[in-house]
Amino acid sequence: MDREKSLLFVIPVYNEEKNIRRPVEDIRHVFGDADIIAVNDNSSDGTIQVLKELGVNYLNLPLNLGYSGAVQTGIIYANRNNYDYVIQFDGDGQHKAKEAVKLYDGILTSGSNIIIGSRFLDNTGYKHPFFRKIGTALFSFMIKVLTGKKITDPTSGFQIQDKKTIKKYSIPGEYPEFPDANLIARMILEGYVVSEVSCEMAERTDGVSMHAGIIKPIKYAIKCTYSLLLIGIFKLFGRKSKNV
Amino acid sequence: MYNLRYIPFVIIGVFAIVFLIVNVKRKKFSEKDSLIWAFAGLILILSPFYMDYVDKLAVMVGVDYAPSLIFAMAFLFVFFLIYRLTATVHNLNEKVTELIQLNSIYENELRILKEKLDERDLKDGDNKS
Repeated sequence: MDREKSLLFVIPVYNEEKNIRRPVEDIRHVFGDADIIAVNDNSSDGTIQVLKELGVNYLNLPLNLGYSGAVQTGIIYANRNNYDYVIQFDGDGQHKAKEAVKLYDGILTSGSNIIIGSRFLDNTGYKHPFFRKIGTALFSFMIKVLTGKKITDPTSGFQIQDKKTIKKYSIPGEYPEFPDANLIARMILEGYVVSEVSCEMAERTDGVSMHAGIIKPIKYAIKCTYSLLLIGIFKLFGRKSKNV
Repeated sequence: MYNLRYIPFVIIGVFAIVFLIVNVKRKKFSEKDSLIWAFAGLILILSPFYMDYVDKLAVMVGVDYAPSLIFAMAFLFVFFLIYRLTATVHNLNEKVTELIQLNSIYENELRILKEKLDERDLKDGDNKS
């Protein structure tokens, strides 16, 4: 295994002053002096101050771009700095660094372009709210129909991507607003190798989830389903889907 | 036959085109975007010439009340405009996102360079003293 290849942790953060210490310290504890880039999505709390205290390299977005915009900024940074791999790591403390080792080892040995940390591949004891469980099952089914591949956790933000994927995601318009099931389906159809490893994840302790409330998850589910349907239509007419 | 009943439409059309040209000259409106509005103005100016044909067209397509056909066409025109504006907003949104992303990366690079320069200045200061 070639662990000398450069790895960058991309942590999108928005109002995570109470949570951000934990993932940063966790990564440092497991990966030593691994490179971390925190992307501050125009937080209104003291997140940036905490990042400075922690001595973490950070990008400061002057306007709020949302989760996808923040993650893509980190990926563009990785591309500009020629990193071999990027691990998307949430700033809310849900992702564990010891599980990131599985992703890293997996991508070094499996030849995959993207590896998703799955909460549902094995029974990890993760408590998934009822409606999200339905959404996950629906997206999983749609990916299976579209690509023939079974993805058990299409909404997981815990992923590792290789250089080819980093280059692809860095292109403007290639990283959609909701980079979940739709993006996975698109990448598989474009010939990228996507696989999963079983990962434990924790529950959020502080702050607000991007899918909090009633309207946001509905909006998310509709947009994601629509994207997947478009991918299906494009596939039917033999065209590569873009921006969905 | 030029029908005098439609003179108000002609006047509105002429005013619209003059207003458009003045704004393009003052750079308040782009040439490219003004084209479609100039076309709309032209349709108003030429209205006396084709209104009789609209009646015939309405009969042909089975619309009993000819002005309804004009409203339908106006609706289609407005929908087309809204579609164009939505596409423009999407393009602008993508460009703004890219600018914001690059801005944050350049700001990061600048900050790191400044820190390195400050460190070097400190070292130079220590060496001199």
